[in-house]
Amino acid sequence: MALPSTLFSFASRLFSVRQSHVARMIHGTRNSLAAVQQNSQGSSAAVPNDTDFDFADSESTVLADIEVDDTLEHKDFFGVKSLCTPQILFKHKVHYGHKGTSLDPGMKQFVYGIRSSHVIFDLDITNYHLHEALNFTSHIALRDGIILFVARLPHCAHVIEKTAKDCGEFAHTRQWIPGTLTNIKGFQHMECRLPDLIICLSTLSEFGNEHPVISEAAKLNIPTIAIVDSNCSPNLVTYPVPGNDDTPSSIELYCSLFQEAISRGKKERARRIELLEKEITKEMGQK
Amino acid sequence: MSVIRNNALVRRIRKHISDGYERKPDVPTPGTRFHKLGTIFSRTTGLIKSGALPAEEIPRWYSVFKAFPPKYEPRFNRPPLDVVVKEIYYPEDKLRAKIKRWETFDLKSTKTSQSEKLVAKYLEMRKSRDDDDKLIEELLQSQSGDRNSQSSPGVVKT
Repeated sequence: MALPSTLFSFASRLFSVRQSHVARMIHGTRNSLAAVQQNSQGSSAAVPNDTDFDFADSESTVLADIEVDDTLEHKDFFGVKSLCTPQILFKHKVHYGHKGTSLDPGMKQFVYGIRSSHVIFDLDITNYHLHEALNFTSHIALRDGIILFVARLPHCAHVIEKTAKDCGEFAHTRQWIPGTLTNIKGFQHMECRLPDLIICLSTLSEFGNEHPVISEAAKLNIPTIAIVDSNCSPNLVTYPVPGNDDTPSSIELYCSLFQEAISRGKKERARRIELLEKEITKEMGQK
Repeated sequence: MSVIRNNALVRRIRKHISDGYERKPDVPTPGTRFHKLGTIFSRTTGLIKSGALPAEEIPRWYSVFKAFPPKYEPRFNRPPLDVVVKEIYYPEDKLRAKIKRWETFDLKSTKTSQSEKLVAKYLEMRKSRDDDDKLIEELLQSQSGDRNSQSSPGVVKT
């Protein structure tokens, strides 16, 4: 495949690059799992390939996952609200917007005022929306969702791709060919799983119009989190975060915050899988 | 579009040659505009209610969205709120406007700059005095006097 971004391959999930064998086992129903384990204990290494195929089948048909819905009752389960404050945002120059003449009418509600013909964002509002976005991100990471970082910022492309790599997720910071999500079969030539969450660090494409990923994700019912500057429309974005999307220092701040949120969700997931594993082994021992 | 394609005479001749068959010009299909109707949540809810989306295929974000919905509905035609954007002004802007030449700022330094010191001085002196214009003139003159004694470019004399 001659796709510009090497990191953009959702298919790797299907071949269990990321998931451990144990995690794959848990995806299936418990009863079938127990049966398979008994088989493997009884006749050791007799039919390892067959059991592997059984796992694959059960995973594709049964989408049962670990139980995580109790986290939704807590307002701030992952403690992401302590991650950022208006002071930190101010330090990283998040309050600077574009010229007042380019202010989008949809962005008026997030703006503190216009200082010498430049828009200044209200950082209290930005902070609230950033908390919402971070909370959503860590909940999606807990549910083992695929997260895709998208931006068209040549000066920050390396930072964004590195962040995605560090959290074990995906990034697309190169030219976006229309249909990369809607016509994914035409690009990947294999069965693919679409991302469960798209984080846009800038909603503008290289020519100053709206990035096509926003409308494509909306068509496919994929939620989006986006940093919207004063000259972008926040309407189609599910969780808009008003803020400066051009300065490297602010982009670095967003990257570090989202990385922390994702890692918190993944840690919780790993903890729960470990607990379930112990439970299953206990049940096996009793039988 | 080429000239030949739009030319009515050419089209008519072609129609005549091909026994009355007129080929329609290739128009690209408009594509979907589903994203302009409702929100992702309302569309998915509709699919689930109608039974088009079975229970095991409900997307992972659905329950999270239900528990933590965004403050504003992510709808394409959401009208903007009726908010008046104010201009930000401070009382010390009067002084800032009078300064003719600004010092060159060192972006790496964390020290307070010369103009910031001047503004602080102005704000402090303003509390006890009532005549703003005189105070500003005095301050600028004292500043320019300091500059001249240090023989460095600063505020231009008025």
